[in-house]
Amino acid sequence: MTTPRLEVLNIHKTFGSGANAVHALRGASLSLNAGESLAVMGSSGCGKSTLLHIIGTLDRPDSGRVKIDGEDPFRLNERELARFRNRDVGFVFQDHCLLPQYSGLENALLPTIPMKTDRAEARKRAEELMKRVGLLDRQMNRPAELSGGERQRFAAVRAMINRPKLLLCDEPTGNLDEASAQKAADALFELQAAEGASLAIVTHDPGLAARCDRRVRLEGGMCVEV
Amino acid sequence: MRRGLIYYWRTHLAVLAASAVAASVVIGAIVIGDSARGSLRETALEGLGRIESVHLSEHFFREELAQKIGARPALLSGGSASSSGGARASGVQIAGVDERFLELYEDTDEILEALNEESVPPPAALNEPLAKELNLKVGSEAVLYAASRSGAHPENILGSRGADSDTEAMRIRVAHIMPARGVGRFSLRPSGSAPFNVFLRLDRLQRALGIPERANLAAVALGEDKAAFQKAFRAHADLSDRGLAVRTAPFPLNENKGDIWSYESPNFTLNTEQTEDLLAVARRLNLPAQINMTYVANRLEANGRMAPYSTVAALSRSAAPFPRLVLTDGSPAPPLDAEGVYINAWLAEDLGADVGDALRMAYFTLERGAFVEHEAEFAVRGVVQMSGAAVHPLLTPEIPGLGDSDNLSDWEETFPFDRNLIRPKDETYWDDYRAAPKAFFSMEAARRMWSRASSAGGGEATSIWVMGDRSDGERVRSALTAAARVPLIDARENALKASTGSTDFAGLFAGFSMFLIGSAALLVGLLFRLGVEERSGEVGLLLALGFTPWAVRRRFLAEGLALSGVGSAVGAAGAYAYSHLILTALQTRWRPAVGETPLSVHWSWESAALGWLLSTCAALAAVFWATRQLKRVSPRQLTAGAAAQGLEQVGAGRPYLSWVMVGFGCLLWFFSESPALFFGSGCLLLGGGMGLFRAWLRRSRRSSGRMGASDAKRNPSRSAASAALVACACFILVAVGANRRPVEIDDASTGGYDLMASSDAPLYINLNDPDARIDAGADLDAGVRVLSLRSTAGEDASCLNLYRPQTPRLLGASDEFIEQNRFQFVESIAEEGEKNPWRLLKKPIELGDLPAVPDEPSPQFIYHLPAIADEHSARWILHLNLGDALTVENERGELLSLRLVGLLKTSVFQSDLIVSEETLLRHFPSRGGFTRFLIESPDEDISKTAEEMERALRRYGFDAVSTETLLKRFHTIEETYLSAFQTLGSLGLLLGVVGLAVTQLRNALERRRELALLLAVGYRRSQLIWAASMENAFILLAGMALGAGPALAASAHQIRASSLLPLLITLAVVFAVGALTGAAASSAALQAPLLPALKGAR
Repeated sequence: MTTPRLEVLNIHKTFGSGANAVHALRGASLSLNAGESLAVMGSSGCGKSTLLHIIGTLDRPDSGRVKIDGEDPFRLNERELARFRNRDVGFVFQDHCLLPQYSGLENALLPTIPMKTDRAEARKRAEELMKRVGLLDRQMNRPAELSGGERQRFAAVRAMINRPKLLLCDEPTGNLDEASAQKAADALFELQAAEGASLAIVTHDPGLAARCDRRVRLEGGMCVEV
Repeated sequence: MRRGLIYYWRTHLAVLAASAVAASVVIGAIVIGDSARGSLRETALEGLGRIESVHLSEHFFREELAQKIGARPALLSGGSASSSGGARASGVQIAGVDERFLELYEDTDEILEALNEESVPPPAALNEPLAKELNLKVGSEAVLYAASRSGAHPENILGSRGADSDTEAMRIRVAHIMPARGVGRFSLRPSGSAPFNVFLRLDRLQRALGIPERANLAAVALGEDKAAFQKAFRAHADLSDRGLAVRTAPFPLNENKGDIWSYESPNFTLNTEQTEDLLAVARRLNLPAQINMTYVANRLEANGRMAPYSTVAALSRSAAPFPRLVLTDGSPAPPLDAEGVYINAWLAEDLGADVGDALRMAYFTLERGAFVEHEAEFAVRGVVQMSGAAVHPLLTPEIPGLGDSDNLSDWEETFPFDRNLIRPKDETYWDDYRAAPKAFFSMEAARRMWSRASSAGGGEATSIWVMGDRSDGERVRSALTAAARVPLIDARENALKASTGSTDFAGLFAGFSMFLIGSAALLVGLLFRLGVEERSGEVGLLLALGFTPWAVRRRFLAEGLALSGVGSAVGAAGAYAYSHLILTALQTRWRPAVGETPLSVHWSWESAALGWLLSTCAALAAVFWATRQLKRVSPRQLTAGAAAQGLEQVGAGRPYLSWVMVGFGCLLWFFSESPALFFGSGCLLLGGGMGLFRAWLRRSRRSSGRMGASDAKRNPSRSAASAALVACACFILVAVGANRRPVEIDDASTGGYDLMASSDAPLYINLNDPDARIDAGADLDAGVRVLSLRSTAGEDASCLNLYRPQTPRLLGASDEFIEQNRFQFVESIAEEGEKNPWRLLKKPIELGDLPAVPDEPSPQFIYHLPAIADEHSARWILHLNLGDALTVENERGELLSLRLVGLLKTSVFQSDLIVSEETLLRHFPSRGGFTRFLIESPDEDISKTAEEMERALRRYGFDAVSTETLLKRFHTIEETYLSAFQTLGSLGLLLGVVGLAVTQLRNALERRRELALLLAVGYRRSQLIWAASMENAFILLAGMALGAGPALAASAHQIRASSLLPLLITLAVVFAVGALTGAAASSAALQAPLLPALKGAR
């Protein structure tokens, strides 16, 4: 039996304390195989993003375990955790999170800095990805000069630049019109398929969820396979 | 990094500007220090021309000697001057010079030409300050007074000359007036104010002072070998150059034994150094030596008969075959005990005295200018023949005023002398035996009666006999001159040392600006933090992308470094302007702090680089602080755009450190008595208070409150930093304001004396003696009491002297002064129960009780002596505390470790270091007479007393000033420094206001969406401005309370009711300025179109 790429086991997460405590996750569990795509759905405030952040090690669970290729990343020290995020995880946020002072290309290249990838090689890789998602002619533009869809596609390129094992997307099309959302989703799936990464998408969009191999719904802080 | 710097240029420009302000202040403080030192150095060196060092002798050496060894001779004397218009100047330096001296300076042709003019009165060249003081022009005439320098020591009864003869008066014609530059500024003691210089041709001054062809100064020029000078000086010197004279006579008893060489002094008595050197030389050359001491007795009485005005003598015991006293029975007189006396046969017959009779002797000593008659009784142990030593012509040196007169009654006496007492038989004795002593005592008895311990002019001996042939005489001369100390004053080195300044201006202004620098750094931190908060999404993203927190922080630090570096570089330019401004203020508004010293900007790249480095580090530290929390903030929060909140949550634990600071501050406040510790407690309370305020804002941020306070809690760190900026400025303004107080004039600081005076020429007269007053022409109230003190010619140790005193002026506390126990001590090492700490001056130093002298030059180190100083001078000028020691040289080049055993509360003695009079006499024997005076005047108008004394004693350069004026003069400097401090505090306030305004603006911009919503639902813009102003007012008030509270606590011990109103006004102005600025910032922020904000645009 092969080890799943991602295993989320009985995760609990509470924000605040006492009467003000909000139990975002109450024993959420899921798994994701290599090259597989998964949509995480649920109502607003149900803890979808929290789950994604914990998977991506941006936040820590109160209890429960996360395993990626059988290893618990939360056992890593700060430096190793950063390296793990840099090498094994790619993020795409609802707000594209492109740095306004850099061009699209420079934004895409940001993760290669801690990776210490050779610059020429990194650039070649970025151009390859941009070409794949149709951004080659927009690479020198700054975020302010790009459309919302283009920004999100650059975010996808940035997420995939280091060939991560996991691509985590938090409402990637939430701020986009239908056409742009379509293009962005295409780009995501295109890159995921090409690179063989596992994809987890938090979304409200049933269309986008339908394109995934599997779907789970987060209810009462727990994952329910749909 | 470059992209980030450019993209966020507005935020960065503000950080850069704040860094530039910090750098301007830091570099400026260093440049001010450099400028003060550089200006002092320039001024001091300018007055030395090409002089490297000088030999300034207490004896007048032959001008020919200086000529022989290629040195440049001059005759230098302190004195005073007066013009025909009645103007007077004291502290005048009278110099006799010629081309040899003047060639050490540039552009002296005109001076030389003027001095060579032939005119009566003789021409003189004055420097501008003196000409201005006396209101003289070229062609005017003036009178110079210099201390008389010839004859017996004025404090010997045979040297006392009276008020008219202690000084020499010279009328001069002003032939040239030179600027106070170059030779016009010539001074061996660097001083803030330009010296009063007058130059005469050397030969003319020599004649006027009665010392032809003699000089007392030989200058060694730059590049000349000092050791070679000293060697040549010794090689070519003769005995007169050492202040010695020699008479010789063949040995009368046995010619084969050699001649007697009698070494004497033109001052009548040999001083300790001369005595010891002569004895040491004789010992080394294996030549027999004998000490002789001669004195004058007023009366010798026995059996009811009396012989007037007789010389008496003491001869040391010697195994050498010197002429001996021979008893009338032909046997040699055995050594005498201290109670016995031999009388000569003539006196025995005159008094009808014989062995066993009591001989009563009356004699004068001169004590503090007054002749005091003493009586002593001795037992006649024998009668000596009128032969041998008893009548030896070398035994008695030439008696001043008597010399080789035909008659005893022709004596030009220097002491109370009743001619009527002289009998014909006394004249016959004079004819037959001249000044042959009539009575002989043991040396022990002689020293007891006449030595220096009881009178400054007493001396150790009147002659020393050395036995030897002619070649031995030459050997003694060579050895004596070879042993001569030829002390060189390293004028240039001293000037350089002194120009490091008594006040560390760099440290002072850095200290003054500390809060300003702190405020600027705080502002840098605040602004940078705002920038970081603005870019929190970027931080979160980078963390999410796998950058380590340190890597993210490093990116910001790199930007901070670039901003700090560039800002500091910009600040370097600002520093030039800042230092220029401060130096201008020091020479105008704050002039009392620097006196007349010309100051100019001295810029060095090294200092600028150091300042740049320091300010960059300070700014970088602020940036480091601003980014310190990045490490621990969750990327989730940052990417969610909740940076400020995220940053606030980190480190929001209990403020233990703040509580500790407050606790220590309170403890220090309760248990401390020192103003410095009070200030320290204030600083701790300030720091702790700010920390607690921040913690309070954080803890209560969720609770609702009134609009102002609750808004301020939105960004606790930001609000706390803004309040801290205001608090720092308020602290310094209030602390300084509270410390301002009128000068305290009371007996503790004046000692109950009304006037303090000094004279250029020493006074030897007793100013309390009505006859002496009449003699001096001083018409003073009988109730005027004068306490005369001896002093050395050292440098002013008070804050009035900008130069660092190398050899502070020493003041000798007489027994009378000590027992008066006036003035108040701040602290002393006196044991409990000792009510008079002045007595410590008479106690030997117990080294075990005191810390060792640092870097003690042990081979030379000899004397540990107690000293007392004014606390201000000790701490701030001499940089000494109680128990510390200052090392100075005595006249013989021996080292004195002057240990501070007591510190006086603010007093009139800020210029002096006080030792016992005995110490002064022992170690500075050539400094005869009294030059400092404390005066009590019953006259309501003490200025009348001062004027009358100055008029009557103008020959001495007598200068009296009321003790109140003197204290006010010192106090003015303190006030000036406080003004400077307050001004810089105001600049800190300016930064505080800028910080507040920026915070206000930033808050308003961040809340544009919220404000837009409020406008949309019907709020008026003015209401929103009012709400924002309330927040600003809250922070402002909190800052003021945080700053003013600790400052008032720190000053509670000395705050006066009169200080409160100005303080309240200051605080009101602070509030008004801060509130208006905040309102203006809020208003400006709300002028921007709010619709885009409502739509969520950034």
